[in-house]
Amino acid sequence: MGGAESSASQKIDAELLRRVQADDLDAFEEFFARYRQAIYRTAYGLTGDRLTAEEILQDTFARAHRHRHKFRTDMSPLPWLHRVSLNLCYSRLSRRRLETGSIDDAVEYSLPDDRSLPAETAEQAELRQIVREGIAALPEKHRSVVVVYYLHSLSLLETAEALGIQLGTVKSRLHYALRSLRVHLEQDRRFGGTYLPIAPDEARVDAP
Amino acid sequence: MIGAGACQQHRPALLDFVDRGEIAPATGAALAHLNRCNRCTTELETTMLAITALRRLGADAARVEPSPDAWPRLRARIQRWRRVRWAVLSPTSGMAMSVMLVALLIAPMRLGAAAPASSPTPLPERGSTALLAELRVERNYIATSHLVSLPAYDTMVSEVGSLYRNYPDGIHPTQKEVSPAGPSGRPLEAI
Repeated sequence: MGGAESSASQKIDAELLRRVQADDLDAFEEFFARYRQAIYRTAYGLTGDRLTAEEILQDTFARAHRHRHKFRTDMSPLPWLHRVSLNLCYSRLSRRRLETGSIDDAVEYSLPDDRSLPAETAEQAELRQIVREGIAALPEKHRSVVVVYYLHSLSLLETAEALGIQLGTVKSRLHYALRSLRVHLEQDRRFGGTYLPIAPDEARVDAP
Repeated sequence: MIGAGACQQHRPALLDFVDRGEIAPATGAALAHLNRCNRCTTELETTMLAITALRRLGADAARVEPSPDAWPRLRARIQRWRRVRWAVLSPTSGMAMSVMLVALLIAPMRLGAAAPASSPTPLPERGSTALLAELRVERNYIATSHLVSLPAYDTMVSEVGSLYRNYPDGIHPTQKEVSPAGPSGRPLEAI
């Protein structure tokens, strides 16, 4: 993302946020249209369930409308929206742990891949579920980096901008998160990979 | 056997390489280490599996869109919330305004401040100018009829109380011959 494009986008954001803060519902519709895909993607990626993702989308923007006066016009509201949607995802998931049915739903709702055999599809779905649980077990700051970088397929720089953190911080948090996810996969009994004993230096991974 | 310290040292470069295909000065040494280290190879395979699963999650999420009625539902929710807010705020603010209005009406009376502008003009107090005028008329009448001697005018005034004298000392206003009138509650000059 170029500097000029970024500053133009910030200007539009500032103007839009001012209108949103003035309780202009048309402006809020524009605000919703601009950020809904990102929030929905986070919610669907983490829950694997369309209905839950829809609810999280609604709740995130309802909160955004309620707290619109707290938005700063000099910065993007996206990190705030991400944080709220992630919290909503995990509060829902902890309330009703993902049931076996929702894995089936995730498979059913994801576009069918004709090349995949049913067994492979089930295995992939299970692996995704393990990874979702691994993401849920991460500390919040690492979780948001993983979600924005992998689920939104942004570059490192775009991730840093979206979350308002340094590029180096993104990299170190990704390293930490990947190590934690690997340990999570190895420890999970559903995972059909190698069951390596956890190295003593990885039993407790220190956050950067 | 390769020490764990060497594995730790090469891990970041290996992660960058498998995740983003980043080739840095340390990548060559890291890949050379990978060729010799079974543990790093196994770990890297698991990490790549996690990365693949993460990317698939992202790809799945990218293919779905929020339902088209997402905005109408949200708008309805906001409007419903607005109505509820007004339903709560309107009676509260109405009650507060009523209380303020009552307080504005009551406060001057309770504090003894200025009476309402519509109140009638109070009658002059008995013993002030009206009484003085009556006394003056009465004294003149008695004096002219020579029935009894009366005390001086100033003495009478002092007996009535602290009365306002609207003429200089020693200079008495010209006495007029008037017919006595009963106490009317109003100064005779005004009749």
